[in-house]
Amino acid sequence: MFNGTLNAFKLELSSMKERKLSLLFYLFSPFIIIWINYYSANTLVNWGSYASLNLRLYDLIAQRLFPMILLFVTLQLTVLRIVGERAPAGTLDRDLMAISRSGMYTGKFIANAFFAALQGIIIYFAGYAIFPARNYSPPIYILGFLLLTAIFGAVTGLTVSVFSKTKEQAVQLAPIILLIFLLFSGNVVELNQMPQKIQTIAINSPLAISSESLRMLTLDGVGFEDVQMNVAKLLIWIFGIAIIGLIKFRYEKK
Amino acid sequence: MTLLKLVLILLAVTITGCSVISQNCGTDFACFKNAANNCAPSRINLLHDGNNVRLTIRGTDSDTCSVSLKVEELGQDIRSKYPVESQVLIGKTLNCRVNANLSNNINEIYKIPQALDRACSGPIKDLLKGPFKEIIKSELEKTFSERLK
Repeated sequence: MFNGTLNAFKLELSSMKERKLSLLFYLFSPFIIIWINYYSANTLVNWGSYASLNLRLYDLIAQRLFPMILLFVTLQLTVLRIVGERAPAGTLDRDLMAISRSGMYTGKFIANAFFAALQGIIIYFAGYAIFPARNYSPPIYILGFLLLTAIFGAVTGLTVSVFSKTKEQAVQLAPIILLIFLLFSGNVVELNQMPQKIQTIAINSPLAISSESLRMLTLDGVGFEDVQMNVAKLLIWIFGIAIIGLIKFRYEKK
Repeated sequence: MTLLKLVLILLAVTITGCSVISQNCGTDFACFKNAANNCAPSRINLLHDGNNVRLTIRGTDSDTCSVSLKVEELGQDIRSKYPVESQVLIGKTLNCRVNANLSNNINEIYKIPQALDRACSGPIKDLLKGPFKEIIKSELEKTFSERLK
């Protein structure tokens, strides 16, 4: 299986090289969104629990905006990576090269996780170095959560791709999944305004975990000890979704 | 199945590796003083008049000891006197580096209110530039003098 994974990884990388321009667009469009927000969200925040800190609106929305952009881009990036290559419409290279389905899924996950991680690094530099949002925490913790969110987006896109029979299905499912994550993230309705039972589900949803952790780190200045459980939760989400996709793809009928 | 087992083992190791092992002393000052004098990762909740400040020691970093104060809760007295300021303060942190005096770190921690400008950073320090300065300094000094001596 290791050879299969390695071959699938190399195939995926060469496929990425062929998609140069579209990948560059994925990489840099968030940069433009952050740039626009930096200059437009300039109002000073003098209300609520962040008054008197000389925060701008941009500082307040950064920890909600960056994970949302990251999830959107990385999920879209991977949502066609398996469904687009299913026979008979797609390439049969992998069957010809005798790469197992497990190897194919794992190789694609690793290759796309690298790209997703690169996306996370670009968003970190855009949001905290070039157009800096307020941050009271060491950069490594911020970067860590952005990377985990990016990898989660990539694995979710791959799993949506596994469950889709056609490209059209995948393209329609992706925004619905994103919308569900968005609604449960606390970015549309505040978490503490939700009914209790929904709140319990929402606070454990990946986008809420990421946004809340970034808020606590960047604006409240808390240490890693306050967000370490959130790291564990995100890892469980990543591995859980990956395992579901892997098992479905491994055992589905050809 | 082998892959699944490998993934689960990797997940367990990663999650365990992420955990910061820190002694939780609750409200036990003796326990905390003991840990603090070695700058060992530990935490204590300082309770006074309904105020709850969590003091966390994160460990040594070259010749400094990293200490953090987080306002977990404010008492009714402060909330009614300063309703707006209280809402801002709750949940915020002050992160400080004190000289690592491994025989008597607790004294270094006690000096934090006087050394706020030099030794600390974080949202509470930024709040000190505004109207909260005297509130925070006096409450910190009161809490430390009663609990840590």
